Amino acid sequence: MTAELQRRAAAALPLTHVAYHVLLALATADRHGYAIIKHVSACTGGRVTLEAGTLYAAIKRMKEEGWIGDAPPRPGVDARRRVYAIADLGREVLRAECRRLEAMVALAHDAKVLPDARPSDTWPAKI
Amino acid sequence: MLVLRILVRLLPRDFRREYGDELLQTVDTQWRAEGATLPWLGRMRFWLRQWWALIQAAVTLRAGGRLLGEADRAAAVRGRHFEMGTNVLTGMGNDLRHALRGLVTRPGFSLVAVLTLGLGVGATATMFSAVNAVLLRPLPYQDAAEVVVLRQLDTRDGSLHEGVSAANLYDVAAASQTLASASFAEAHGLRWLADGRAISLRSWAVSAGFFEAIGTTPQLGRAFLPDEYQPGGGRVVLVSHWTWQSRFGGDLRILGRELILDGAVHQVVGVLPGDFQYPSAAEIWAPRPPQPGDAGRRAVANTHAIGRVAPGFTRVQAQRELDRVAADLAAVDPEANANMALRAIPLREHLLGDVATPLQMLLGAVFLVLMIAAANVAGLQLARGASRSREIALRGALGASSHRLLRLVVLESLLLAAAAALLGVGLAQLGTSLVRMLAPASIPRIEALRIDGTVLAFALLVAVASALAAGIVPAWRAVRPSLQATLAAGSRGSTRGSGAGRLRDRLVIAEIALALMLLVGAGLLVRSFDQVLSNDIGFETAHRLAVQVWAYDENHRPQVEFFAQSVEKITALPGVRAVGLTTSLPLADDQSILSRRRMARFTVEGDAVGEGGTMPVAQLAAIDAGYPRALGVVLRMGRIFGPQDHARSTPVVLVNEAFVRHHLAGGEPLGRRLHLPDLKVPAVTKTAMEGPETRGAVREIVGVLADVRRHGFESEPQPEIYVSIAQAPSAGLTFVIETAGPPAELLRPVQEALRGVDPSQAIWAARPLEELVRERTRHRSFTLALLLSFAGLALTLAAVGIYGLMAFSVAQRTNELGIRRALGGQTADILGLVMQRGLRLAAIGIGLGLVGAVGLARLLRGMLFGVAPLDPITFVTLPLLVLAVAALATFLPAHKASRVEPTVALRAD
Repeated sequence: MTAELQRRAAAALPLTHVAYHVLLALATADRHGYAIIKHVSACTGGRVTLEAGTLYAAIKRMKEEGWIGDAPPRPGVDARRRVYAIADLGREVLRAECRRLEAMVALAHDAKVLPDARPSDTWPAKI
Repeated sequence: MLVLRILVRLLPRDFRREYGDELLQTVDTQWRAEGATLPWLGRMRFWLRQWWALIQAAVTLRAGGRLLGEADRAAAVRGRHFEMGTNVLTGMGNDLRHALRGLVTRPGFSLVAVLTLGLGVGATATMFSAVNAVLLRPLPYQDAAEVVVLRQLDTRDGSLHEGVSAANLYDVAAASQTLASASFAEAHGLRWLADGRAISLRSWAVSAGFFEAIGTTPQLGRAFLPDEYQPGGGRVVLVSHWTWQSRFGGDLRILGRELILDGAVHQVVGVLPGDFQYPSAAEIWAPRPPQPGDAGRRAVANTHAIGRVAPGFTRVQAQRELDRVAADLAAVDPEANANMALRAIPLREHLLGDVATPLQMLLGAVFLVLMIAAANVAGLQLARGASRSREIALRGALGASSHRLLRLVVLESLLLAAAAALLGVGLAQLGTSLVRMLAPASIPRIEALRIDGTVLAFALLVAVASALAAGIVPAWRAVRPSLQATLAAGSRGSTRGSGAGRLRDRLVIAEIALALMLLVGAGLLVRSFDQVLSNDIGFETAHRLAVQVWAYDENHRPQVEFFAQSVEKITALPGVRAVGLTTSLPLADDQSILSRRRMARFTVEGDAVGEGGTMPVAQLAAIDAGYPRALGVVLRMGRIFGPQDHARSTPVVLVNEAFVRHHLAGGEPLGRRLHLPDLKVPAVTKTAMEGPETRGAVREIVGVLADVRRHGFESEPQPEIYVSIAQAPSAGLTFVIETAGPPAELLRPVQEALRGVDPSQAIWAARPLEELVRERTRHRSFTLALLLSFAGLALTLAAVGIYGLMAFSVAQRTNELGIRRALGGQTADILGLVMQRGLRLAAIGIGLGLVGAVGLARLLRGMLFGVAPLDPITFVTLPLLVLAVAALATFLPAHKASRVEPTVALRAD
């Protein structure tokens, strides 16, 4: 099952920055739409702001892909607002993307583009 | 927020339903939390970003763009979002190939559609190029909008004179503040002696300020200096571009060259630009100094007067000032100016006013044809859509989004448009040469008619617009219905009662209605033309040649002897039956033969002078004894002129029937005496365009001639006074020659005869009278020919439309018809069934078309002659014609339907 998830996740790479940020925002907590926007903006120091149109287009597609789903209703949360939660596949996609990015950065270190070089053995043998 | 609410509509419906409200709510929350506190620029940016994001989302969701990353491509491969991958351009290329294949594999449809649209586009582009050449192109004068044409108006009957008399115009120019310059041009014939031979040159004598007023500077050399407009100011001329090129080979040494004009040496000081032809095309423009005779001729307003509105003033202000000046002029010369008003008419209106309406009408008519063509193609598309609905549904089921399918159909339409535009431009090329051939010379600038970039762009636009209009609605219909339903319906679908079928019915109804409208319009013009031609013009035109000659000596006195000898010589020529002379030839067009219209004031002896001391006026012409016979004008009463009416005998006149009716109350005309004060004034003027000159002011009526329609079939006979040339010699006369054979063949012998009398004389213009008649009716035959061909095209297209619809519906119902046959339906029953439907559509179309035709007839009223706008003959026969054509177009498929073999029909499915 996990292998299947990994295979499907690998096929989805690389991610757009919107998909990346939304998955990242949902990885820490279930959130409604505006909460995602706020979180992304806060994490990036306001450098990345998502517009509602972009966000919901991505949400629709991600739900179709099975990366995210609706969070179960909880007491104390405004029932009129739909809250989204990350699904297993989504988490796997995010993880795979992070590994990919990590590897890319490692390459940059190897090339001495970045100052503190790190061992290149972090490059995964197989994703 | 409102904008966003509207933009949300761009999103695909399923998305909107699920996330639309939430999206708006989120934006609202965000706005309250962050946006509202921003400075105004930040707020603006907030909304712009929201809008842009929404538009992008809509496009991406619809067209299938990149949202998540590689996941989008994976989804595409699975066929869930779109067919061909994420690259929109790749999709486009595929679609283009697909569209092309779609057209090529249905050659019948494509051919008919391209032909139909191509015809529509070609006809429209032809008319547009005419409108563009004549009406839309700017006039070749600087700030032409500021130029006004000045004309004297007779306040008694509201008739406009050609222009303003010389003396009045000088006074206007001196008094006016609102006109920066005011000037006039006078028609002028000059005899140019080149290599010992005389050539008549058309020329305009222009008063000071003429070129400033019209807004032209010579392309070479200079305009006239102020001094040159003064009497004795030097003999200088400007030549036309054509003259410079054709007569002097474009030689730059033309400046300063000396020409012998009317026996005196003139110097060329400049060449006018190629497109300059004001007041009309001529070869020479010369200065026209004030002349002593001007003051006595304030009533003779036959110059072409123009003015330029001064900066800071408007035409309305100029008109107001002209009203005041006219009042002052009435005080200066009450006899001539008492009932005179001055009018300032915009140059554009003066030049193009008469032709604008027919051209615009024809352009409108051609648009109706285009609409019919587009409707026809739309009908074809619908029929195709019906047979294609399965294919489209299949594609839909295989994952093609409806927008993708729509795009495919749009591309097909654009390909059709491109082909139709190509064909249309080709046809327009033919059309424009046809229009140039048919067009009357009186339409200004029609010679500039050609296919240029503007026309090409227009043709392409029209083709694309009509192809899209014809393609989009059927495509929408084909794409929209639920896929499942179409697939389930199988091939047994009958269009009858379905949405597409109803739409096709309506298209055919519209086509029939539009075609009938055009037919009625053309029919009314045909009837008018018929009425016009059935008018008695009052003289013969067959076998008549008119030759105009100016013969005067150095002192501009008419050469009476020359004319007398010439008449003798011409009469002696073989093939000549009769010869006459006149100053003013009826039908003279002013393009070749000058009409030399002259109005004369008169009083009938024994009658009281009219109120306010004003005198009635009548047309004045001088004729000789041979004229009535040569032209075939009937003598109604008394006698014509004879040898007894010479320069020293009692002055006599002839009048026409209209004169007797209007001014003698139908009483006994013979023996009555007319007082003609205008004939007292001796014509001492430089130009040779003067009218009859005479000593006698009181003249006795000795005969009555039949009325002639001087300005063609459509004009009404006006009261006329004829004086004898012997008693009122004139330098500019037209020979009217009755010939035994074709008149044109006599031109050369006549020319030789005239040279034989005086080698220095030249023919000014020669035209067979039949040509002049044709010229007069040409504006009618032109409009008529075009409208008739448009109407014929419209009827053909409508017939094709109704035939296509019926043939298609019969093909669709083969099954049903087969069952009817199997159940005992008779041939006649089925024939009736199909015919009934076709005729019902035709009847509705005719009904609607009649309503439209009534409206159109009202628009056409100005062009009708002797026919009521609701002419019963037109309004009864043409609907019947349309019905007959529709019946024929329906009968063919109906006949086929009635022959359906039950077994074949049932097996077919």
